[in-house]
Amino acid sequence: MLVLQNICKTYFVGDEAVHALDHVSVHVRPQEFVAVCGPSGSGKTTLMNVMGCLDLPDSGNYFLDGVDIAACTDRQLSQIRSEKIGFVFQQYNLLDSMSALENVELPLIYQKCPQKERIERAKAALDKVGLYNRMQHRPSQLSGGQQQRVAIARALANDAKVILADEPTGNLDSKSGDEIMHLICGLSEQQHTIVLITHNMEVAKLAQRTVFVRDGRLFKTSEEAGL
Amino acid sequence: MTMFFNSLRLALRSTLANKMRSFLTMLGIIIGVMSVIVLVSIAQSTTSSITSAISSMGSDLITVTVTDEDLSLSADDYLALEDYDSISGVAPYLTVSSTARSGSNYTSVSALGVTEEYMDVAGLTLESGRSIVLSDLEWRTDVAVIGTEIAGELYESYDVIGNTFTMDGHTFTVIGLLSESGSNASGSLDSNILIPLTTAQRVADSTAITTAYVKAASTNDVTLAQALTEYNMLELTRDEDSYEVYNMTELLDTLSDVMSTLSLMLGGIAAISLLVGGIGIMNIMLVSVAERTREIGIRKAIGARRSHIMMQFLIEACVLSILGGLLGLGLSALGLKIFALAADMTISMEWRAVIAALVFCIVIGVVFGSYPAAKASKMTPIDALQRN
Repeated sequence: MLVLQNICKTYFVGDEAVHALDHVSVHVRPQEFVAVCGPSGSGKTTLMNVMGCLDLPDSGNYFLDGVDIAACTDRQLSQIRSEKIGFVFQQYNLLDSMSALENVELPLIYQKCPQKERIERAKAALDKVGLYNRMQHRPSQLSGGQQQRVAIARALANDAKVILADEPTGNLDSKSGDEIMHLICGLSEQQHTIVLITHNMEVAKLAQRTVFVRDGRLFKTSEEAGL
Repeated sequence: MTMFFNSLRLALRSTLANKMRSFLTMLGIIIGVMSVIVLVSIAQSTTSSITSAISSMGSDLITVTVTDEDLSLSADDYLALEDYDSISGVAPYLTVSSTARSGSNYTSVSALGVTEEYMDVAGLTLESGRSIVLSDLEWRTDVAVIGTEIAGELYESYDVIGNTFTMDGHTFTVIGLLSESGSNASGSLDSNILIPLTTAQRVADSTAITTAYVKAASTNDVTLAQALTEYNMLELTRDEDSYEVYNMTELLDTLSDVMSTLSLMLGGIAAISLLVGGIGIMNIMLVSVAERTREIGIRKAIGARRSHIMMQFLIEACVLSILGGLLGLGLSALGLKIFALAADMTISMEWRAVIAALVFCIVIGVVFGSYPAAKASKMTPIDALQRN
């Protein structure tokens, strides 16, 4: 599903080069639930950005569902994000000027989904995360856990095969965090491919497989990573 | 198309969400559109009311004025023109500026000493009474035909036949009242006093006649009649700088030339304020793009293309400018109504100015919206998302 080979990504902070990803290779199989674990600044968010086609690597190959990302135009990348990838961010990243329902509808608008079908699918997605009765609320009127559930509904609405979750529980209390993780585990059972990025080992344990990142390098076990 | 309506809905919503800001942004456009429409409409209405007043005086009328004060032409010198087929009437006249008194009322007047043909040539008609006839000229009677304005000032009534007034030591009897006819380029026709030419010559103590109206037989003969008049005047004076012969159509052409240049200039100046309004829109759109960087990032992450983002901001700029244009249109309709009431004029909205202003608004929305929109669409999703 996601095949990354020798991916490198270097940032420049002032004159200093930061190797956010240093020859990273990882293979995520369809319907697999993989956790990427590492301390802050280890490069795990950069990894997610590359996986989500938000950022392009400096070198290396990335194939998503058999498509070579490096060869894609900006328009094709938008289409891939629109059709294949659902994002769940730590800060929820909902648009506060819109209701929960409209937020969930948004990816479908960009897919040119007809209005009637769009609203039905968005409602169904909200129902899945248990927020059917709150769909007219603005994000600011919802609790953190509820907002994150709206974000998950948005990721589900366009039938994305791949869900990329970046610290989805990072801003939540443990009870809401457990609910969100429960939802994500449920999605894994429903044949979604999930990449979960976290620094929390407890959370990572819920995944089928965990890889560890440190200083831009990928390790198979926490011992190798020195964590 | 769905995309377009969604963007439109979004744009309307974000315009309404920031009412104060949107209004202030639109104010530049509102003022611009208002000034274009109001100024051009007023200029055009004024032009058309002046030109219709002039053309009502007859485009077949030729005016002869002697400018050389040493020349002394008699009425017969002008009347010789009547021999030509292309000229149907000649009316030499003499202007006497004086004060007319009746009891305690008085008013300063321009009394025109005229021949019996004058009213016919100048296109004046009587409301009541009779006009000046040949015998008045022969007997140098002290009679007068007066305009409605004079009647109002001297007698405060239109029932004036038989009334008298004094002017320069002569007591005139009113024999006729002119129909109300508005004004022309030389002033209000309703403030005229017509007296027999011979009487006027006595009052003015001068036989020299400096002006005459020449009426062409038809509008097709105007050019020929004018040429003949000019030829005759040259014969009489032997100096082409000592007289002027001009036709109302000529005057009309010059006038409408001047007025259209004027209204173009006014429109141009007003268009500059529209341009300034457009810069205001660009400014606020740039602020809006900067404020909504994160939103742009989110939209891109969930699948928005560059063109989607571009369209969203472009439509928003157009919504601002078009909404401003429509508000400006409404306000200028109101403004014109008020102006028309205050100035007691009929002013019709100039539809060409309306179309031009609204088209200009759309152009402004697109032109000044495209830079901010392009800026928004070119952000990479990762930069946009990480900006706070």
